[in-house]
Amino acid sequence: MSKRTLPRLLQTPAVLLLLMWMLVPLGMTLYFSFIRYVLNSLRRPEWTTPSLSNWRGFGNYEYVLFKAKDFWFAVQNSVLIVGSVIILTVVLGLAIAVLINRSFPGRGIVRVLLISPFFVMPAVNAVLWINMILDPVLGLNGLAVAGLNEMIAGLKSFPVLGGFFSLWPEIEPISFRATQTSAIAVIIMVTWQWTPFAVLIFMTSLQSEDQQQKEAAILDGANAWSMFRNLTLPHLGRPIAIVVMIQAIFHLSLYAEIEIVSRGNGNKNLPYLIGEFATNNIGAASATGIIAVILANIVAIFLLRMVGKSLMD
Amino acid sequence: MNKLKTTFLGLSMCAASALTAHAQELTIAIVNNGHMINMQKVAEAYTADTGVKLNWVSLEEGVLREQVTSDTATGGGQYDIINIGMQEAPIWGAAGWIEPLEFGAEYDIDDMLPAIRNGLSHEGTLYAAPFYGESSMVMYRKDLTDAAGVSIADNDSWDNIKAAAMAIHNPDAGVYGACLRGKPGWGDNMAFITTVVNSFGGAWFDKDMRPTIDSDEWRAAINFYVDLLGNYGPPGSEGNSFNEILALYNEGKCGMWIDATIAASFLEVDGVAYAQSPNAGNPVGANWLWAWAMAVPAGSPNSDEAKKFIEWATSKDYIKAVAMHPEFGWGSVPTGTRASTYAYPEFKAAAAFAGAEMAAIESAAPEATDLKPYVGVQFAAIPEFPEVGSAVAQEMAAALSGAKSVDDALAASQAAADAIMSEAGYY
Repeated sequence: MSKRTLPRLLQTPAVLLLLMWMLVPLGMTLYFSFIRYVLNSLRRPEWTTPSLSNWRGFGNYEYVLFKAKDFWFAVQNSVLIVGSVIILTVVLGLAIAVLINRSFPGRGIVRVLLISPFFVMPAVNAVLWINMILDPVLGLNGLAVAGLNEMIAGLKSFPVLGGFFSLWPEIEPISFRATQTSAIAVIIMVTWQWTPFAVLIFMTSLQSEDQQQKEAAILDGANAWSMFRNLTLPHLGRPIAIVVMIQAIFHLSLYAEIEIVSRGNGNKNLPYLIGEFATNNIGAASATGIIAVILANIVAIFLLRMVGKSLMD
Repeated sequence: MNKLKTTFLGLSMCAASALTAHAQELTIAIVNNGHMINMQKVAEAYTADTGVKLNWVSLEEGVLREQVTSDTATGGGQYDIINIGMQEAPIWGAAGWIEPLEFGAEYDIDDMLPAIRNGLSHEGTLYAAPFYGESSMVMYRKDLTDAAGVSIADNDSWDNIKAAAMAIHNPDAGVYGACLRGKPGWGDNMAFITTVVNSFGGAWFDKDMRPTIDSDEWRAAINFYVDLLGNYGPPGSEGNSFNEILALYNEGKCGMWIDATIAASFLEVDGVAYAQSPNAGNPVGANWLWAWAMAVPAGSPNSDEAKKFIEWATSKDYIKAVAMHPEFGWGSVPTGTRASTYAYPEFKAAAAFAGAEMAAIESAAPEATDLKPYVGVQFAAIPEFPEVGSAVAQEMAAALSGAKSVDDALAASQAAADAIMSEAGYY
């Protein structure tokens, strides 16, 4: 018996359990994606039980990719949401982290307030935003627009300025549940929730920035922007890569916000599409799931390379 | 995995029942609507009389549907009694997922409103007993219509409804002419839109079950709907369903609302008047029909006890028990199931909308006819409908938002429905 055999034997149960943990659900999804499997059917009762005799080959994939509604739209919308949220959170996170990195009175309280959105549950976040802030009648959005309209109406009766204000059109509040805007609403609320995460990461790594190097730069007469550009930003390369990677993984699986804002109207991603298929057609839902796993892995490979590179430097 | 879970659950249940010997227990999955929540208290008397212990699992509508569908489809056996609606009852009965119900003479099944009874039956056999039922009607502010000098009649024409909405529409004062459902969902905007389509003479499917969403009747109906709600509705209508509109109405922001009859009992605005839904002249009518009902999943080990409980909970005695209960009263009895309920003078006094509700329910016709070859008024009682309905619902919301033209939305709906129906093996 070599030195390594015993440890390996002892590890075996754990490894097997882990394999089962991952492979059984994946294997079942793969199996369902190749057969006809619907929960209920009046015409074809034989499809309601999963069995090899309902083998369908790539039929479910063909249906999902080319016949059913919205697959390509869901992919495109996922990219839009994830991309926008990442760009916005990194830019906002950097700006806020740099701002609160200096010392000022009340810094502790400001930091706690800044970070608190991150601890709100996603569904609560969506409900709060869509009903209390973005609602065009009863929310802040509607109230603000109504107030603005009233103010303009009041100004119209002013002697000189009235002529100017009477040219102003009545402002309509934007509905954030509409097809055109529901993706924007989701981007706003997810950005609000995840900016604190970026701030937190950037803030901690700003603390480790080399102060002597900065002092030297000041002595050499460098301005704030070039110091940020040439010293801070390169220093933050790694944390930015990590923020991008973690957010990309998390936001690919958004569900609650989409459901609450628009029920998929003009705004859905692959998990949401799977949920729609799963009301009856398990075969199609499984096929979409397998495609989503493949796409997510492709994204993960690129991201890991990016992060790996920044870690190697 | 599921089988394993079921076996395990079954084994542990067997062990538990062996221990407790004869004490009977029933697990009941209910939707968390007011009437069902009240039932939990009223049923304490049932437990006292019979010794049957009742375990309630109260869930939100969508979650309940999901839970109950997967549990029933896979034969999970978690529940002895489940709450289902009119969309599921006939299909699940046909699939053998739920047991047929037969009650004694005292139950007086002929007292059941025929429209509700038919909607919960498959080939003449009752599969789910109705707990409460509803239709839809026009609810409007009489003060506003009077001030504008317009009136709304029973089964008015859609042109008149539009004229009335136009007359009372006054966004500067925060009052919108018509509040209608726009939130996408087969039970949300499609419930209302389908009744409009019905009233224009359209239907979901033809006799071969091919979708007919690109027909002229649909085009006329959707153009009318988008025009009415887009011009005289509150901003952000694509986000409004029952609860949102109820809030708007009670804030005094709606002049007219066409929705479920049950809404009338929640309205806190004075001077509300009721009218039967508008119709463009189609016999199917323009109001919907819905009932929450109780059913027994097939193979429940306690099916006899479960049926006895359902017989009690949907009987005349139950309605009286709610009326006499110290916490409730005639205003809280479940309506829309039995003709006898509407005969009580105390009920008529407590519910001003009772007459309009009864008339609306009686005029709805869920049966399959030449005009629409499927069961259901504002839905089709086929397993694929939730999928078809949600897909079309999103297109209709897009048309309402102005993101798509009505023609484009209808074409996309037709293509999506066609894909789902052919995938399901209908043709």
